[in-house]
This record gives sequence, structure tokens and C-alpha cells, in this order.
Amino acid sequence: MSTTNETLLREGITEKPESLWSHYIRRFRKHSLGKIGLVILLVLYLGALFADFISPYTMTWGDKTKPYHQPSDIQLMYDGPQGRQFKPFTYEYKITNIALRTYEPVPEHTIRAISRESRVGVNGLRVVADEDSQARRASSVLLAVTRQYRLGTSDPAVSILREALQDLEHDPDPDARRLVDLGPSTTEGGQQIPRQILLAKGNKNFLRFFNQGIIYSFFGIPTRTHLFGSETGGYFPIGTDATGRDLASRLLHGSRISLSVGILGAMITIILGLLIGGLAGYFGGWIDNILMRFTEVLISIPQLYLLFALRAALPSDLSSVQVYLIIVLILSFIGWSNVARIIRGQVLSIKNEDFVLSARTMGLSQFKIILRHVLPSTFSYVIIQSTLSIPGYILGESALSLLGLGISEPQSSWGLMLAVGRNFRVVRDFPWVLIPGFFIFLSILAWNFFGDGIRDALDPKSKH
Amino acid sequence: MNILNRIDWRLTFILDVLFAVFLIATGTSWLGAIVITEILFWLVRLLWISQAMLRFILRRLLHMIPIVLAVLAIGFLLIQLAPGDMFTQMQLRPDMNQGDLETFRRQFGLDQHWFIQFVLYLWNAIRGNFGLSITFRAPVFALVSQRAFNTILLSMTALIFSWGMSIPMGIIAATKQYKWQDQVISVFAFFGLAIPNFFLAFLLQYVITTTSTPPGTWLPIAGMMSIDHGSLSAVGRFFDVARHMILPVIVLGTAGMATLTRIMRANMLDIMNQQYIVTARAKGQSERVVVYRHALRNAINPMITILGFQIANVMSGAALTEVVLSWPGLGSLILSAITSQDLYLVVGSLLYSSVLLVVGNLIADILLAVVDPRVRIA
Repeated sequence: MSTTNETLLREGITEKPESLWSHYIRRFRKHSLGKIGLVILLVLYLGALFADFISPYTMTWGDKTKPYHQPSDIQLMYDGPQGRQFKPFTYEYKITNIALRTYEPVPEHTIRAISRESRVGVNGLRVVADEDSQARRASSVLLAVTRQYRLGTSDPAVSILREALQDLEHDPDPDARRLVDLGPSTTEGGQQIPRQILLAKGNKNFLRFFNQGIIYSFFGIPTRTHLFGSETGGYFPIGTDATGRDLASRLLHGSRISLSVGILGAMITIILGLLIGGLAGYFGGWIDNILMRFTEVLISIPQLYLLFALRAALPSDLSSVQVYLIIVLILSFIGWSNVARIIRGQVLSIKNEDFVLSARTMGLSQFKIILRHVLPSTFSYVIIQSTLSIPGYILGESALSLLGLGISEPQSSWGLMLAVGRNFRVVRDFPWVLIPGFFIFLSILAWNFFGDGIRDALDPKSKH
Repeated sequence: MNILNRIDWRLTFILDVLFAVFLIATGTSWLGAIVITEILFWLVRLLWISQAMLRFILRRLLHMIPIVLAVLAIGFLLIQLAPGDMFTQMQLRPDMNQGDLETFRRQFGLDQHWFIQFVLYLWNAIRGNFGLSITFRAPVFALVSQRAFNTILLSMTALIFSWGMSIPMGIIAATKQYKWQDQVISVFAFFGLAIPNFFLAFLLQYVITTTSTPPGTWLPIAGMMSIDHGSLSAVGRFFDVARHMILPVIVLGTAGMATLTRIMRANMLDIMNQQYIVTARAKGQSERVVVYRHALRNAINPMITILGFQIANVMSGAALTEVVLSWPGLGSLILSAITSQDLYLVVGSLLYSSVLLVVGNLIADILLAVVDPRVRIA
């Protein structure tokens, strides 16, 4: 009774009573784990949205000379010509034993040549010339560049490059950089393509924000600005995979698939569950009987086996978009039965309430009664159920991709990245391939926390 | 009833042995014979012990029939849906016996109308004939039932493990609410809930391989038996399998343990606030007696309801764990069948696994009915 009095009092001093939504939000704010979950989820989903920009490279770009490169260790202080200063860098590593994949930093006198491609999707050139003599280094760089661009020995570009190399070698700065413009070249299509080569002396990759790196298409606009990285490459925050692709970039791009499957799958499941559960509960009779017997059958098949069998019955030679959609559809086909059963139970009790009866006496059509009066009453359950079911979809996608039935190369997803973990020798020698697993774990944990918070906010009576 | 009362039901144990021997003599395997006789005779014994219970079980058995039939229909649908006939693939194999193919074609009526095919498929499936596996060139049923034993072994051990761990942990968390023991267990439960089975398997494999010096590891990280399993004694074999089972059981049991611990803790807290606990304390009973005699028994009851869900989860989880840790069970069988497009094997394992699940749920329901008399009446 005291609460009614309070509201009356509040109305007296022109304060509005609290709305339902602000009530929910206020209660959610009290749930500290729920808030933590929400923050983690925001970070993860923003990362997925801006994956192109945040990742140091692109999803498919790889340096084939660096399979299973270990995560780069960042040196913060740099002893340059201007003395010791704060300038983070990592050393350029080179593979020294191909069988054991051991890496060592290249010597200080190394010259590197990195091409700057102006077209999206073209794999650039990377030359690491660590020979002892200056002439040998110059010739190995020149050889690689002339091969890459199919230049003749008399081409003016060659002499430009040779002069730039000479100039670089005589630079007193041990970590000098030169951006050499070789002039445009013409492709088969008649397009003019600028050719630029970055020459770098020394064995350090300097890191910086808004780095100009591999070109990519950001929402349709070609750009080469990445949030963080090194313009000379060679920086791998969490190492590389078997073909030298940067794991951090693949992790970020993979999160798009892994994280969106959950939301999309839960949405389809809820729509199916509402529709079928609502129909069965409202109409009852034979519709109810048929639908509920069908859900019983679905529930009595172990989910993963059903997942496997459905995937087996569908063709395997599909494009990546089709595979993605099929995974979402299969997962939601398996998931809806539980939702439908519970919605049915709720609808059964709601349809005998007075407000439904009065809607019927006012002559509202059956369809509108279900849509406007019965289903909205199940709203809080639907919200709770969908947030709590998302981890299951994330797990389902990772499991399918892990076993080679889901997303396939060159696309990326967290489960697919973990698939190499099935070989325990890889895990033993290169444990950083397990990092995607931590992200699966983190996202599931965050969704669980968030779901708990939502449940406590929307349904304080529930026992869990 | 009068006749029944005059005979002591304990005498049926003699018939038990006779029937089992008869079954073994007529060609059933000893394990199957014991299972069949025990089920049959316990159903008969229920006539003496509790007729309400018998009616409940029979009703549940009747409910199972349409479900199994529908699962069969789904399996048949999957076979029909898949692109192409499996025959083309079979006939291309030079090492395939063409006579076998003919019997197979006749058994399943593959050249006839789909309706007749379905009836034939049902008829064969009921008799335990799920067709022929292309890759293994053996009857599907034999393959599947052989693997199913391993899956049941793994799932049951994992269930026992997770129950055995979660009940004490739930009690500790509830009696030491908000103390450090409770915090540790809650954190553990959250982590166990969120960590994917396969990822936990990889992590444990990593820990084991890096902490042991090659050659060999101090704990088997994959498979079910050592290479020299055949040459071991019976006891040695048992311990060999047990050692191999440690890792998969931990991987599979963790998720269930986390959920159960949370539920057990909530139940215990609920019960500990009841009036009769206050009464027990007021009588001056020791905390031990209050917790273990008065609270625990009532807190465990709702857990049995969860057993049904738990079985479904464990079966699914077992499939993934089996594949990742190469445990030769149903899950790894169905996966290898999928990759080799061996559809009859896929559907066979699907059917077998769902029968296992339905039977598991039946056992859970019977347990619930034993514990809670309200279920039998409803």
C-alpha cells in the first residue's frame, strides 16, 4: 500500500511514475555481473563491426614465409640516433628451421622491400635481404622487384630503385625508411596502377596508430588505414597460423560469423517458437496435438546427432554465404521445440484471462487477439529465453566449423580457427592457436552474465 | 491376486537365471541376455511390489512407440532428401560384393514406390536391420551397437562424476554462503558453464603434453585403449580403459557439474530457510544432522527432475568429446559416416542415439516416480 501512496504523492509534485522500461533498466543496473557482461559484449560486437579497421592486416593476407610465427614481443624503448626514446617496435623475425619452425631476428644490416598495392585483394611483395654484402642485398631486392612487376633490365624503374637502395645504404640512420615511386604501370585492362615500394633498413618494425598497411575495402571505400600496426609488417599480436596469416586479423573477422550466428539463430528460433507455440496453445485441439507431438519427437533426438544428420542430408559443395545460412537454419530448427513448448504453456494460461475474453467479446479477429494481446504477454519470457539461448548457437556454430561441417576456408570463424587444435602436436608447439577458444569462452560467459542480469531485471521471481 | 499372494516373488530369481541361460543358448550375447531378462523379470516382479508403478512404466513405454516411429520417419526422410541414390556410389566400388547389393536392394525395395520403401524400411528397422554401411561393408546395426556401448560407458561415468562432485560442492556453497568457499565454487561454476567442451579438451591436452617428457605422456590424451591392450590381463585392460577415460570424463562432466552445482546450491539455500530446519536447530540438533539428515534429502529430490535434461545434454556433449578426443563411440561414428557420405550409417546412429535418449529419459522418470509418489498418480 505504501507504494501506491508514494505514487500519489509523486503525482502531486508533478513527477511522472516510473515507466516499465526505466524500471527494468534500474533493476538491471543493480546486477553487477550483468553490467560486466554487457560491456564485454559491446566490445566484442564493436570489434566485429569494425574488424577491417581494427585488424592489423586483412582476413586472407598472409606471409607464406612465416608459418606459426610466435606472438610478437613489443619493445617499448628505442635507442635511436636521437638517444633513448619511447618508440614501440618489434623485431623482424626469419624462420631458421623449417621443420621445427624456429625463428630468429634478422641481422641489423638487413634491407627490406615492401610493395604497396593499390588494389584490394592483391597479395603484395615482401623481400627480406639479409645478405652480408651490400651488393648482394641490392641485387636480391632488385631481382625480386623486377620479377614481381615483370621489369626489363633497362626499365627506368630499375635505376630509380637502384639509386634509392644506394641512398638508403649510406644513410647514417640505422633504421632509415624510403618510399620509392616506380611510376605507374598498365594492366591488361588498360588501367594505370601506381607502383610504390617501401624500403626499410634495419631489423625493427615500428608500431604506431593509424598505420598505413594492407589495402582493404571499408564499407565499400578502399583504404589502407589500420588502427594499429607496422607499415613494414612483421607484427603479429597473437601469432600466425599454418600459412602465415595473422591470427588477430582472422580472429576479428571470424567474430563476425561466430557472434552473429547467435543473434540471428536466436531470432529465428524465437519467431518459430512464438508462432508454433502460440498457435498450439491458442487453438488447442488437433493443431495442438500434432504440433506438440512433433516437438516431442525433436526433443527426443540428441541435438548434436540431429545437427550432424541434417548437415549430412544437405549438399556439401556450397558457397560460404549459403553454408552460413544453412548453419543458422539448422541450429534454429533444432532449437525451437523447447521455446514452443513453454510459449504454449504460457498461452494456455493467458488465453483464459479476462482481457483476452473482453477482446473476444469486442469482436476482435482471432489473429489480432493472438498478435496484440496474447503474445505480448509472453514478452519477458521471450527476451530472457533468447539471451540465454545465444551461447548455445555460438557453441553450435563453433562445433560444426571445428569438425569441418561448417564455415570453410578462406572464410574465418572461431570454431574453424580452433580446428587445428585437434592435432595435439600443433597445440603443444604453437599454443597460441588456442586463443580463439578463449574468445568463444569469453563471449559465452558474457552472454550468460548478461542473460542472468536480464532475467533478474525482467523476472525477479525466477529461481535459478 | 490370490494366486500372486500365495507365491513368494523372490522365487522368480531362479527363473531369472534359467531364462538368461536359455537366451544365451539361443544365440544372444551374454550382456544382451542379462539386460533383457532383468528388464522382463523386474517388470513381472512389480506386480507384487507396486502395481501403480507397473502401470506407470507400461504407460510410459506406450508413449515411447510413436516417438520412435516418428524418429524413424525423420531418418527415412533424410535418406530420401540427400542428393543421389547411395546405390550408384556402392556399385562403383569394385570390391563390393554384387550379391550383397542384391539382397540389400530387395530388403529395402529401393526400386519401388517411396511408400513401399518406407514400410519396408520400418519393418527392417524394427527387426534391427538399419541397412548396410558402405565404408565398413558391414550391417549398420552391428557397427552402431558396438560403438553405443562405449558411448554409454563414457556418458554414465561422466554423469556419475558430475553428480558425485556437484552435490558436495552445492552443499558446501550453500552452508558457507558468501564465504570464500562459496565464491570459489560460484566462479568455478560460471567458468564450467561457459567453457566449450572441445576447448577444455584442447587445454587439458596442452597441459598434459607440455608437463610430460616425450616419449609418451603421463595420462593418455586420446583414444580408448593402449596399443598393447590386447596383450594385457583382464585387470590390466580394465585399468587401461579407466586411465584413458579420465580425460574425456573430466571434459564431459565439467559442464554438467557446473549446472548441477548451481541448482544444488539454490535448492539447499531454499530448504535451509524452511521452518522445519529452524525447528531442528531449536531442538538442539547438531549442524551436521540438520544439514545431512533434514536438508540434504529434500534438496536432492528436485535434482532428479533435472536428470532427464541432463541425459540429453550429456549425449550431445559426448558426441563432440568423442570426436575431439577420438573416443570410439557413436558420435565419432556418425561424424566419420557423414564425411564419407555413408547415409544409412548416419541415420542408423541417429536412431540408435535417440532410442538411448528416450530410454534414458524413461529411467529418469522411473527414478522420479520412485522418489516422488505424486508423479505416479498424475
